Amino acid sequence: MGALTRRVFLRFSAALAVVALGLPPRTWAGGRLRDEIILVDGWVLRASDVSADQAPEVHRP
Amino acid sequence: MIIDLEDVESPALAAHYDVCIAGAGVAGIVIAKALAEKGRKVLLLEAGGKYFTDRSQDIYRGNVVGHEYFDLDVSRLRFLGGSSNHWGGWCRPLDAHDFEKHAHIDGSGWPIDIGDVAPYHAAATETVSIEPLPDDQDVAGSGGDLKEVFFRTSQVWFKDKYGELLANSENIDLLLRANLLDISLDPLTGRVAGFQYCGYHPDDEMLEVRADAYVLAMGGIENPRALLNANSQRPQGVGNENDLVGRYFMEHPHFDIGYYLVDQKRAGLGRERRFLAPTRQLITEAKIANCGIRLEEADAQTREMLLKETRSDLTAAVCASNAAVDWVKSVNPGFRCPSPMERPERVLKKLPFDGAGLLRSASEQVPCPTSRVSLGDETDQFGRRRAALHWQLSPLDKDTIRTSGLAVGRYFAEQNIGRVRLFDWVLDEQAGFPGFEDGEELAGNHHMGTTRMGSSAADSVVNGDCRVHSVDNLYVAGSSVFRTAGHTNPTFTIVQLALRLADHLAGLV
Repeated sequence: MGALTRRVFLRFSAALAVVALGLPPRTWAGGRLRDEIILVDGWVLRASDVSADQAPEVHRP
Repeated sequence: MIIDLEDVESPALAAHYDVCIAGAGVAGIVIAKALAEKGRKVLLLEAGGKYFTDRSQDIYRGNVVGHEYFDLDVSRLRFLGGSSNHWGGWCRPLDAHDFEKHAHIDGSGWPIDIGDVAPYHAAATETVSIEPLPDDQDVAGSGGDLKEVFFRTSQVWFKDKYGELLANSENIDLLLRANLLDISLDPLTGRVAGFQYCGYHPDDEMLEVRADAYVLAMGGIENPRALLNANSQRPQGVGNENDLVGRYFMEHPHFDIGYYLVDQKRAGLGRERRFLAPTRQLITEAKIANCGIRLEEADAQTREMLLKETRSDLTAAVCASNAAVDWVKSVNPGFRCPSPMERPERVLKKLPFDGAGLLRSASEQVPCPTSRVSLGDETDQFGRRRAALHWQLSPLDKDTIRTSGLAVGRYFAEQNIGRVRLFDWVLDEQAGFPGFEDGEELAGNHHMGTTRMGSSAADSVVNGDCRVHSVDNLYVAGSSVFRTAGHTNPTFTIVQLALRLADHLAGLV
């Protein structure tokens, strides 16, 4: 494992949270944002990254 | 002419010089060269010799009493050429808004603006022998949050490029192994009457040089140390009437702040490194300081590990947290976290990313009066007190790194060119900064702000001409005069300010 990789994986922890980004809100010139941006355990994600659409086996209510 | 005090007891110097400069590093050499080209007679005092010696370097030992930091005798070099003998060569000017007042940053707002240093941009480029610098570019799709910035890397070691000029110039006398020990003031006028210096041998006598103007160019730790130790006539030190000399020490904190997965083609990451920075718009709206975010591509082995491991980490991040699942359900009612028996990768869209790398920040530290260089209790071989550094970072410095990292993450996600994962300490507002034991670089070895520039003696040491407020003919050169730090490596700006100071001095002497 290289030095860079060691540094990367030393940073993980079990703490998990979904929080707002804390950045100034903004919209695209054409209207609202195409996708909501969320922060999950340090990952800056699109909401669709974890949507049901991407998980065919998920049981819909 | 070069004279080494090691070789002569009493150097044959002129009785009087136009300008005497203490310190033959980047700033001192640039000023001496520019003044000599204008026909001014210059004496350049260099405390070291032509090469590194333990004896000279020992004078730089000091104490670190604040946030952990490099040993002070490692973070800089004390011989001809100064710290340009180990610099990385990174060159870029400050941003225009680095000079401006930001309402949310106490102590910001230089008394000069970008227009005062821009005329020296081309000459600075020649001085450090770099190609012209590209203009910054707004990052399309970042909503005006980010711009791409560019650096050039200089290969110049000032001792090598300018050593021959210093030796042959009729207008420059370079005195090696000459340690500035005191600053003599005229008791009637308060002007500098002479710089007092001596060599290393215990029986060397104290010598004094006289000039019309004097410049301290010894770096951001040694400049304040020299002023504070010059207390034979001013108990609080020269120029220190308002207890400001040494305060506002700033660095460029350097940290690994996360990593990224990326579609290399869409992100345009064909180069080894790419630098993004918040725009003036984001800095103002988010109330942060300036910050450079370096995207540093991983090598092939690390990239494969990141691509493999981070996908499972990403899935685990979502599915291991009830809070995360609840929140995601509120956005996407159909979401159901799969059990461990199910294939977790199906939860996530198959992210088509083929690149990975590390996010590194080199950020601006905002001015802080309690982050300071002072005098410690130990003394050097000349009986002068050694430097003590209390480096102190603030919550705003953390905000700057966090917000800049999030802005890069938002840009990657919105444009679907990649995803960013920021480290826990970056996002945890209660967490402190990592240290050396975490494998961090910590800072750039950039010592700034300790004789800061300002329009008033009430909050600064030097004025817009780099002149000490309370002493008519004493000037300071180098990054110790920086009022704010920007995120950019300081040497290019040091050269610009040195050229500007040389012009100013040439108009006086």
